[in-house]
Amino acid sequence: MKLWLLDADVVIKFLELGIFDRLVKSHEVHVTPTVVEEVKYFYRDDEQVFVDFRREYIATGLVRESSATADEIKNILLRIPPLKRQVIHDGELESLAVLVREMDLILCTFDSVAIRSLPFLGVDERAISAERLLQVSGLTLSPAHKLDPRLSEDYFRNNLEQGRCEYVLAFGRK
Amino acid sequence: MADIDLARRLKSAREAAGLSIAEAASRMGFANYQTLSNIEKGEREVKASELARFAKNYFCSLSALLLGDAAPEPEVHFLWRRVPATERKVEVEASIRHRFEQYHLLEQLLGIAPGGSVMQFAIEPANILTNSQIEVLAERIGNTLNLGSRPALSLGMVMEQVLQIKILYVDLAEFGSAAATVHAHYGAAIIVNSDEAPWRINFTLAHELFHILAWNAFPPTEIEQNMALFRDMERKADRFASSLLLPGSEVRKELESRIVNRKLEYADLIDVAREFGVSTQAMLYRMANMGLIPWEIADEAAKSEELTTLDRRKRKRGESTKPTSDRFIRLAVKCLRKGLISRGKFAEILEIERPEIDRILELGGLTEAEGAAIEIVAP
Repeated sequence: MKLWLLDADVVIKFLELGIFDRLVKSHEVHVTPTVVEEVKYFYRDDEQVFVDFRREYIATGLVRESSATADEIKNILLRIPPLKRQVIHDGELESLAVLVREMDLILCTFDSVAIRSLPFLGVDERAISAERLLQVSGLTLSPAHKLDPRLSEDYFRNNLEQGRCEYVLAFGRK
Repeated sequence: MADIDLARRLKSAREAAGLSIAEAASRMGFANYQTLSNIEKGEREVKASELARFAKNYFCSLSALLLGDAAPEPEVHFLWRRVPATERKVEVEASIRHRFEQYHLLEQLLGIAPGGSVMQFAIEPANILTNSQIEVLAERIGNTLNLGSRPALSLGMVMEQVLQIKILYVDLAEFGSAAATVHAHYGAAIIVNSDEAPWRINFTLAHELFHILAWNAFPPTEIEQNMALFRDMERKADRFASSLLLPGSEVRKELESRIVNRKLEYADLIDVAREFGVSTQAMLYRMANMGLIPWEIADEAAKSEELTTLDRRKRKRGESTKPTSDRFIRLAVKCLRKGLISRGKFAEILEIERPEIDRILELGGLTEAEGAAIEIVAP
């Protein structure tokens, strides 16, 4: 799968869970330059673990970096309502712009605002929950880890549904 | 081809942020200012990652740069206690205005009307002509807001939660001052130097509250153009702060229990000041305006090296943490919980790194989960 990880949160969470390295082996993973910049460290057992993402993952070709143009971001901004524009992080906007451009990418995110934005961009069918991603990748969490509800399929589906409702309210039926 | 509208907007945004082309280029990490100059002339394309950095350095949003979303009208006007040096004033104000806008955005997302409640206490010029009128005003505000016998302990919280005044703690560094503003759409805000000691912050809050209450009666532009009026308003704001934080009867009661043979030791004076959450100097001047000591004695003691040294020793702040606005954090968490802002935006607004989001939520006893709802039966 050509996997597009929306933001630093997803990468940090997968690093925290100890599954990121296995994911990059099973999939072609892509991120934006903002994600590369923002993933500096994560916590494991309450200890800060530093990571040089560019050196360890980009330079080694394990993860690919893709960026959007200003025009592509502008196009994203024009497709979402004005107030919503203010609540999505700049890096996430760029990420969504790449997703819209690269038709073969599958997005993984557990950010509710980002999930709810997908129907506005017509890419709601090209996204996957973290729980589902783990399943299709044949990965299981260690018994010590209880799946964070935000990573669940339910959380993803509920927010996607909410996004579809918001879209209908803003622009009428699709 | 470069977007000429974007080029123009970038130039205007830089100017609005008070940055020279050389300073902006350096903050953007360009090797020389020529790169930025070419961008502003529309001769070089802007990369997406650069756009995000422009937005951050120019204190604006991506949509303002790409779509030209309008700046707030009317303009936000800050009334400074000590105006920042001219060359940095525009930049300092632009960064504070951006924080003010973000605070307002959180309220807007949650459907909270920006703080009109404070203006119900707006004052008329005729009501603050004399010191005794100002004392009466302070007493009335203290009673109405139920600030109790130690107003400093709850003032900040009440100002934020009840009066909906936005308190913006800003690292003002060498601009070590404070400001107030009232905006038609965003509401009222007080800008506090986050480096100040807690007891000085309390006084600042009370002082700036006075300026907010007097905002309509004495427009800031009028005050700034008239030095005599500025000094008079500052004196009145100090008097108001002193009376509000140090209720006469309570101060008298506390002091009387410590006065022996008509003498009050420095250590006791410091203890009382600390108990009321004000500086020792503020306590001394309050004692003078209550007629307990002559002004010259208050002034002399306030400058005394012995008192200052003892004060410093007794008030060691230990592991000092920067003050933060509880309300601002709670609004941000509520927006995150309700899926109104993304986690990236949450981290940006709170100025934290991504891995700290969950820790902030956990340590603060805050949670992203909504939980079940209970049905309310009474109307």
